[in-house]
Amino acid sequence: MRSIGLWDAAKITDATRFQSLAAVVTTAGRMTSTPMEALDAIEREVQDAFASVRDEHELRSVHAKFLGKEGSLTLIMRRMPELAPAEKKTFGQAVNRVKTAVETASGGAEQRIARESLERELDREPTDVSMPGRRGRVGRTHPLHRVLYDVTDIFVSMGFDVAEGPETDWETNNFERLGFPADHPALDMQDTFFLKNEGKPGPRALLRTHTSTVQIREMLSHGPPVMVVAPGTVFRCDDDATHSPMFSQIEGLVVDEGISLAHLRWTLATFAQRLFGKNVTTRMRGSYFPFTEPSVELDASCSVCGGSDPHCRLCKGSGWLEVGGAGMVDPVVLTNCGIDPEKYTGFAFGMGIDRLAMIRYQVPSIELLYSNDVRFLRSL
Amino acid sequence: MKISYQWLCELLATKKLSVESVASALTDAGLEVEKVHSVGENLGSVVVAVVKSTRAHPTSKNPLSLVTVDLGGGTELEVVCGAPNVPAPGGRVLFAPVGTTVSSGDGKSFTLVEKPVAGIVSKGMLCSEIELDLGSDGDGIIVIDDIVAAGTKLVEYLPGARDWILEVNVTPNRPDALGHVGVARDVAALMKLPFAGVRPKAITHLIARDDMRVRVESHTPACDRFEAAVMIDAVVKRSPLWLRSRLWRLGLRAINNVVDASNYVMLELGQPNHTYDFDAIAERSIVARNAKDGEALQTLDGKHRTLSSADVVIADPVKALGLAGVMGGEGSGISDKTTRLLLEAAHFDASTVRKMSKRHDIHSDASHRFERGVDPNCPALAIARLKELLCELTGAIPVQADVSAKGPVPVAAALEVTVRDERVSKVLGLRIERDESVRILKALGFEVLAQDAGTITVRVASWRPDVTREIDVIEELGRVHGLDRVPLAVVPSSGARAGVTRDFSLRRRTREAFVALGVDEAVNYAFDSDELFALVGAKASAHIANPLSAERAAMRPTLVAGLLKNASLAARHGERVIRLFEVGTVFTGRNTDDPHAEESSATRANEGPVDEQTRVAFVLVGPRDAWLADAGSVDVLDGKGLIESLMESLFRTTITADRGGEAPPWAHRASYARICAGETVLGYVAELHPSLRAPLKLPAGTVVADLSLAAMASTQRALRALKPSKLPSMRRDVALLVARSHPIGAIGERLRSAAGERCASVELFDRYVGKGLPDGTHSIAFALTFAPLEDKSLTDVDVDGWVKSAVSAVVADFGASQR
Ligand SMILES: [Zn+2]
Repeated sequence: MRSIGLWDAAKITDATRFQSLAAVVTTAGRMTSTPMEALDAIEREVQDAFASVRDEHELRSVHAKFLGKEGSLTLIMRRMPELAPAEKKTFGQAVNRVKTAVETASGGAEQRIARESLERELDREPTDVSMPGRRGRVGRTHPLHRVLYDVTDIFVSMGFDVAEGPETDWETNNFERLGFPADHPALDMQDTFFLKNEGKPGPRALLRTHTSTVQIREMLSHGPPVMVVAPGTVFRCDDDATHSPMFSQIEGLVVDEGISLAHLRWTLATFAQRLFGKNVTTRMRGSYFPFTEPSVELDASCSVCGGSDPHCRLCKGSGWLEVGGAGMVDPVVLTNCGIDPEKYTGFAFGMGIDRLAMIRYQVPSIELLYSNDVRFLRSL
Repeated sequence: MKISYQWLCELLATKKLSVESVASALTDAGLEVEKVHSVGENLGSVVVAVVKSTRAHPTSKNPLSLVTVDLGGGTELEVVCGAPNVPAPGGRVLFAPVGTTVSSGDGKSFTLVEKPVAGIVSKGMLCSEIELDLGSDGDGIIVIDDIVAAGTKLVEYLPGARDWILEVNVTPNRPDALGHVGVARDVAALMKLPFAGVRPKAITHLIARDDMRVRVESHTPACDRFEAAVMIDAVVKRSPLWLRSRLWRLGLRAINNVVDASNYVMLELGQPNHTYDFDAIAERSIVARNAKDGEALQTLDGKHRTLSSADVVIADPVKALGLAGVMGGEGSGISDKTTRLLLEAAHFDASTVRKMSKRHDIHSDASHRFERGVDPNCPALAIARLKELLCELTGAIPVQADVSAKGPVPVAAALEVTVRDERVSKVLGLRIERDESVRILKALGFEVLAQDAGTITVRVASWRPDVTREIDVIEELGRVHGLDRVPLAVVPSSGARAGVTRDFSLRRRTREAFVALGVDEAVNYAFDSDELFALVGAKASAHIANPLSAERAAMRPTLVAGLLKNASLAARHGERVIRLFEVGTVFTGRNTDDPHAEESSATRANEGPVDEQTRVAFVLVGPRDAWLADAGSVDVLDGKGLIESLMESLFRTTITADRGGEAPPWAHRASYARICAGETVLGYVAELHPSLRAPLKLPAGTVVADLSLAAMASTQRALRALKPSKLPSMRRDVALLVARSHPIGAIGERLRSAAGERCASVELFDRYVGKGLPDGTHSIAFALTFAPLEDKSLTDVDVDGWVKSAVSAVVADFGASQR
């Protein structure tokens, strides 16, 4: 905006100069001399007239002073009757010569003006590009969802469906159908938030402690083959430095004929390589979950140190990262969902998204993930 | 569970195992070793010293003595000692020379240096249990009763002094691993070592005493094994160092030789047991029975408890002696004066113990084991082992009056399970040779009953309650053979058929659209306090019965409250520009159908006990995006614009806003909009209600919106491509002076409807209120764009005619005048 002012000033100076220029041309057209003398005078003026032209507008005016309706060359043609017949031809040729000179000078001036105008444009005051860019704000996806989507994408690329279910569920789906023994310490592995009955009697409702409830619903709603991952929010009655009462999880389930632990291992090893890097190796070790038999834990070799750094921030020196708990679906679970465990076998796995997010973004404490502190969110 | 490496080596009678190999083998087999603590590595220089003479410190006012000790090999040294229990000459103590690191008892340690104590230089010290981290006693120095030569290294006299404590994460299915024998058995199976278990020596020296015969009975199905024994002539005293230090290292405090022996047997066999003072038992009779309702018992932790018939007690005819499998009672324990012992070990029903433990809120070493399932055959072994230890430690003599109660319920016969080789390969994806399978099963204590071409039949070890089916035996085979040997096999991808659920991708796309529009994503807990929800006029319809706190008890009925809380926090931190959204579940109603029914909310894909809805909410605070200019604070139109952009980017849907419906409680009455798409109400956007600004410390102009994602998504229609004309469109601007009471949206709509079908858009591009205009009016300017039909050029005459009709319409309908 401020630069417009400069241009306006330039125009004003040009206009003043232009008036004096026009005066010269008028003088050249005086009727006092002979047409030939007048023509000579015009010819003498041509070069200077165009040499001082500064822009397109001036150029058009100067051109018109010579060749316009009232231009000096146009007017001088009208003086042809003053000439003797013998002079007429010579005069005509002379006028044409001057016309050509005018056109040539005009063309030269036009090119010069274009060149000068380009130079002026390029020579304007440089923009201070250290000033901030003009822009709209860019938002942030929550780190948990970024990791959740990356992880889900990997499984989808491996052929898994994505299934979802409600965040509240019945005890039946969360425990019973999964083969949790009643009154067993295995229940303590998943401290549960139960919902108040709100005055209505009936079976116990709870906040799901895992997304295995979704797997149950999948198996109940359609039989094998099943190949799903269930990402989602889950809840446990736990709140300390490493546990949040709400967290995100992804669980997977494959049920079909001929599925074995080897398929589980391939699935999680491939996943680990796609998430952590091609050179990652895996180890499978025994574990316990009430709904899988055998139960395993799958670890991936540390993608940062490969086990060589006893002070590694990622693996804490163990050389291994826990990818997730897994196992072959317990036959009881299949039976509970109306699937013949003799004909079909399956595997299931689960992993915490929060922990992966904390590793990826070096989040110092889990509570930050749910703080919604804008400074935290915008740091990622 | 803390496991002593030295103890494992003793049980396995081997010294060849490295700690690392044991820890990694256990971890691989499902007994994850979470940590290995190296203990006693500072004790290499500590030696047994024999006291030669003692004299009082010549100058110190403190009760210090100067003890001359024989360190063997002719070395004698005078040491300053503050302990009150320096033994008489000939007594044996432990000497730590200068340079030894000793513990100060508060978790810290220091290295002994040669420096004068009360003026006399001591070249080492005589040590207490605390200083050597071998026990809890710091009152005096350790005195050794065994006959040991002066100069003998402590670690030679007591090899267990140098140990590694493995912290094993014992999963709830492995009660057998809550004793060293169980862990040793796994190590033996994994590392191919022989292991016979614990075999107490047969006791030959028995006394027959009919007057000490005890009546032992179980009157409850919750106790199906009940073993007891009686011993006389016990001398109750401090246990020897090996026992005291072993218990200490494993996290138990030594009490006396009887209690210590009892605890030792528990740590060894995993069988909780109890020793009573025989003379405190009335009528020489103990029974296991259900408690009477209201029966009182003071447990060993000093608490008075009122029992119910759901509790099981061990009792004599007069009183309850303890809560069965949970905790003993006061009054029948071992004292210094006790000489006659009643030993008891029983098997209790896991579920009964678990309920008692929960009801009385006692988590003891005993209940921890019983609720996981203790070997029902172990009580007899535990009694035999305890007798053996008590003979050695207390000099007690067993009485030939041992009794074993036959419970009212016979103990279930040991399970027989048949495993098919083919099934093993099918599940594990790996073939295990028959020889290896048999070896593994035998090593785990399973009895191989029969083998044929394709199957093995075994009798399951009684200490493995988790193994009842073929699949459980397969797990054992895989676990011991090595799960890491399982190969990788590509999943035959035949399962997937539903793809990604619509809701999942919808939420994801909505989040991404918000982020592209400059808004940050919040993820709040699904629960908060009723008070918070009440603040925004919402009421939770689902509550947690066992919340962590009242602040986290109500399931959120709205996302708005949480977002306002987040914005409030940000404002208090001095953030000027706050743009937050959340896409999440709200919980709005409770449903009580029967989840067991064939057709119920439990079996359908997306119904649960609570009505759940996905909502979309946002809060905007502070100035608009601008640079070197004051663009002003956001207002409700920024909120509306955000929704417009969101709906356009997600669904290509155009929305309308009006003041219909009922404004939400959090909305400013003068500045709220109901957002619709056609007939569908999507939700509301508004400036925050002024009365909420103060409690939340948010500025005027805070914008809040709450929308239904399902409603938003329902507006999506199939799109049809437009074939663009090659001819130019034409624009005409129309300025109108009109009363402000007419909604601009309606005027625009009227212009459009009256401008004919070639009119492609009507856009407001200027609005002026103020000087020079009549009161209550404003000047508004619209740009009308006309698009040609495919190959028919627009003419000025036509377009001017259409504009004229449009203007006439708004002049007639709204009393507008053209400017
Ligand atoms: Zn590492």
